[in-house]
Amino acid sequence: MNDINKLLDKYWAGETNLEEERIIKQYLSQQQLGANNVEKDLFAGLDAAGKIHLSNPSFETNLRTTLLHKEKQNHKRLFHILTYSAAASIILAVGLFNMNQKREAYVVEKGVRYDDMEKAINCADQAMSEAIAPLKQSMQSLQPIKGLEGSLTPSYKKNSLAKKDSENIHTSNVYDDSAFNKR
Amino acid sequence: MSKLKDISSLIIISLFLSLTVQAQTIEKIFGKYSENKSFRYVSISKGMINLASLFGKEDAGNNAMISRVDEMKVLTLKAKRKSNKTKAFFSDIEKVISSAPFESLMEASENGVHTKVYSRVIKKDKTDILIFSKSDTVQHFIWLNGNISVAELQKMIKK
Amino acid sequence: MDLHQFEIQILPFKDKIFRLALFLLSDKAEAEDATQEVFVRLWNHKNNLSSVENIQAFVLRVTRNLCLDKLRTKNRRQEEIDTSNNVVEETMVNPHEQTEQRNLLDFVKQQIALLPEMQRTIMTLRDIEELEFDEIAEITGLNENAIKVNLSRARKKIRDYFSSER
Repeated sequence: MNDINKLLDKYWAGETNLEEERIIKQYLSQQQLGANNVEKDLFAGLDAAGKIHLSNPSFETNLRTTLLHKEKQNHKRLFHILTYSAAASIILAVGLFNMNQKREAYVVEKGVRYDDMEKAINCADQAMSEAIAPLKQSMQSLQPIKGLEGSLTPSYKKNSLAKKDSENIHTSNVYDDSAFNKR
Repeated sequence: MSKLKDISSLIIISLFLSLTVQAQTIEKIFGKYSENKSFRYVSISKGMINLASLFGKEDAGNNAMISRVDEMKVLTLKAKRKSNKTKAFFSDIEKVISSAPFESLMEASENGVHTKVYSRVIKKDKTDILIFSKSDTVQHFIWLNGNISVAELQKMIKK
Repeated sequence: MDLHQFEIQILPFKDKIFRLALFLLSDKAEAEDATQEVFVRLWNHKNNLSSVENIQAFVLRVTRNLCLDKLRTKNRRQEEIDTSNNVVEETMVNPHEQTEQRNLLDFVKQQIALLPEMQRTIMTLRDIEELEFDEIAEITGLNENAIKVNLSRARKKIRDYFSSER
C-alpha cells in the first residue's frame, strides 16, 4: 500500500516513468477499492481514452480519393503552367509511381530548402504566368535578336559553332516551316 | 585522307566539348544562384513518369502533340530592373545564351514585362527551353528540358 | 513515394492522430477533418518522410501544429464548456446502456478539454498515448523539465475535478 502511495505521489508530481505508470495502472485495475475511488476512475478513464479509434469506415477511401484528386490538381496545374506557355506545349509527367526516390520538387528560399511539392508547383506556376504574360499578347511578333542570328537548323546538325557572322543572318520569320523541315 | 579524318575528328571533338561545356554553364547559373538569399529557386525534377491517364479525357486532344518535360528549374529575383543584382544576373544569362547555339524563338514586351524565349536541341529527344523575363520589380529565369520537338513547338506557337 | 507506400507507412498512425486531434479540438467531427488534413499535409511532404528519423514524432507534431492553427482561428475559451457537453452527448448513444466505462471516459474527455492547450497536449501524449519524454519533447519543443511540470499540473487538475465532481 505504501509503495503504491509513493508511486502515486511521484505520479502527481509528473516524475514517474512509463514502467511505473504501468504498475500503478495494473494495481488500480485489480483492486476492489470501493466505488468512486479517484485514482482508479482516472486511470480507467485514461485507459478507455487510449482505446478510442477513428471509427468512420469510409475514412480511408475518402482519404485516398482526396489525395488522388490533389495529385490530379497538381498535375493539372503543372500542365497549365506549361501549355499556356507559347514556348512549351508540354505535359509535365508527374507520377504516383515514382521509379526512384529522388526529390520530385523543392523550393529554396533565402537559403532554406523546402521539400514541398505544392509550394514548388505554386512558385513555378507564378513565375511561369508572369514570364509568359507578354507572349500571350504578342504571339505573332518576332524580333530578331542581335548577335544571335543564325540558321534555324538544330545545333547538332551544324558542323561548327554558331558564329556572329553577319553573312549568315536570316531575318526570316521563325514560323517559316522550311527552316524546321531541315531537321 | 588522313587530313580530312583529322579535321572531322577535331570538329567532332570540339562540338562535343562545346556541348558539354555549355550544358555545364546552365547548371552553373543554377548552382551559383540557387543558394543566394536574394533568389528563390524552384526545382521540379526527373523521376516522374507519365500518367496521362490521370488527366482524364479532357486533355486527350492535346496529348497527341504533347511531349514530355523531364526537368524544370526556376530562379526568381525580386529586385529592380536597374539594380546591380539584376544586371549581374542577366549578364551571366546572356553569356550562356551567346556562348551556346541557342535559337531565339520569341521576344515580347507588354505592361513593362519583357520576355525572351530560346531553345536548343541537344539530341533527338532532348531540348532545352529558356525563358527569361524582366520587369520593374521581379525577374524570372526558367529552364525546361525534355522531349520537346521543335515542330510541336512551332504548332503550339501558331495556335 | 507512391500512394501505396505512403499508406503503408502512415495509415498506422491514423488513430493516434485522431486521438490527439480529438483531445485538442474537443469535437469528434472536427477531429476527423483534422486527421484527414494531417494526411494531406504529410502527403505534400512525402519526399521528406524518408529522411525523418522518428516518423511518429513528425506525424504528431504536424497534427498538433494543425490543431493549434484551428484553435487559433476559433476562440475556443468560451466554446470549450459547450463543446465538452457535445462530446458527452455524442458518445451517449443509448443512455440506458451506458456503462461505467463510458461514463468515466466522457468525464475524462470533458476534464481534459478544460485544460490549457499545452497541458492537454502533454497529458494526451503521455497518459493516453504513453510516449516517452524525449518523444514528447520532439513533438512539443519543450524540454523534459517543462514537460514534467505541465504534466504534473494537468494530472493534479484532473484529479481535483474528479474529486469535486464525484
